[in-house]
Amino acid sequence: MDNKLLSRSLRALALLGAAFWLYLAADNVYHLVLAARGLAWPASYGTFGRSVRAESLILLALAALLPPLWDMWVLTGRCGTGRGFDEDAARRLRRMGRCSGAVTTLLALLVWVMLYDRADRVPEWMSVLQGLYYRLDAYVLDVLFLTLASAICTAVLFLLSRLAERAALEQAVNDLTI
Amino acid sequence: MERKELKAISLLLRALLVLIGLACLWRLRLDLYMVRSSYRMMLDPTDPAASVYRRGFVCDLLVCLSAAAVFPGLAVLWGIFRQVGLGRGFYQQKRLRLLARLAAAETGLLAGSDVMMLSFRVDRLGSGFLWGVPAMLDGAMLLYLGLTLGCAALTGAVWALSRTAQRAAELADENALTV
Repeated sequence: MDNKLLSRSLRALALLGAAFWLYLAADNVYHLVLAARGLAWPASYGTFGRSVRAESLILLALAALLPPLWDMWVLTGRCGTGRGFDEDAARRLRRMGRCSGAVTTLLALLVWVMLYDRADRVPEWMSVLQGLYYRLDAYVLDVLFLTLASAICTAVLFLLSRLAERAALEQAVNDLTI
Repeated sequence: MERKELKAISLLLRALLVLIGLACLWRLRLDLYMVRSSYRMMLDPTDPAASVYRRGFVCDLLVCLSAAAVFPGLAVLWGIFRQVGLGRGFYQQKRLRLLARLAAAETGLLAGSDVMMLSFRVDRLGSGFLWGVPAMLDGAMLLYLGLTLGCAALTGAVWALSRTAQRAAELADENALTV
């Protein structure tokens, strides 16, 4: 595949991702407002309180995704120019890694909140492991999967940023030698 | 980067892979249960909703296959992270290309299950486009769409990395020849 074509396809994907991000953020804010309104009724305070907690965490995770989306846009644009790894790429990759770390933490918190919210499904006589069996439904598992994938992303981005740093250094040394 | 540091990162990454594998196994167990129950429902030809059950079975099967397709990708990633720990550097273009292909297959399976899941929600469009679309795109649907998009982005990024790795290997060969 040609570099320019690859860059264009990646940029199209980034645009799709941005549209999806916008929809998700709007949907999340709508649900957060609904849940916050529900807090006014003392009888349903617990249910809506849980919703507010979960929706706020998702909203924060979405906000943390904004800088990496922009960096991804810039980096995919460079793919087509064949500029390769340099200091700027290293800086962007490091920032992406930091944001990815923040997203991982927020998602881990969300998993914890979701597991905590499912406590009423578990009878008191059950052991911790049996309780976990009842709490880990498909939804929690998907979020757990996302959390782990985000953790891997963080480490890989960190590795790539170091690689880019080294490439930039080698380039500088080569320039000096010439 | 120091060898010790690389080893620690490699171990951490592989530990995360094991955790992901366990989560996927658990998910696969749930999916298999869903496939089995929808298969049983599909078997009754006298049921007027048999065609809906058939579509449900296909949808569950696609979701199950997409959960199963994660494992080969995890195995390839395991190999890549192991090499990172050994300090072999970036010359893993073959593994990266294989990973990109596996990610593309996973994206296809996820996109298929997205289409099937959307087809079950089409009747919600009856309340008009403005209210129907948000009703269609509920939590589960959004999660799956996000997974599909993420997987597509991963395919592209890994493909681009495989090209970079190939170029790095070519440059290293050239340097070796020059020396």
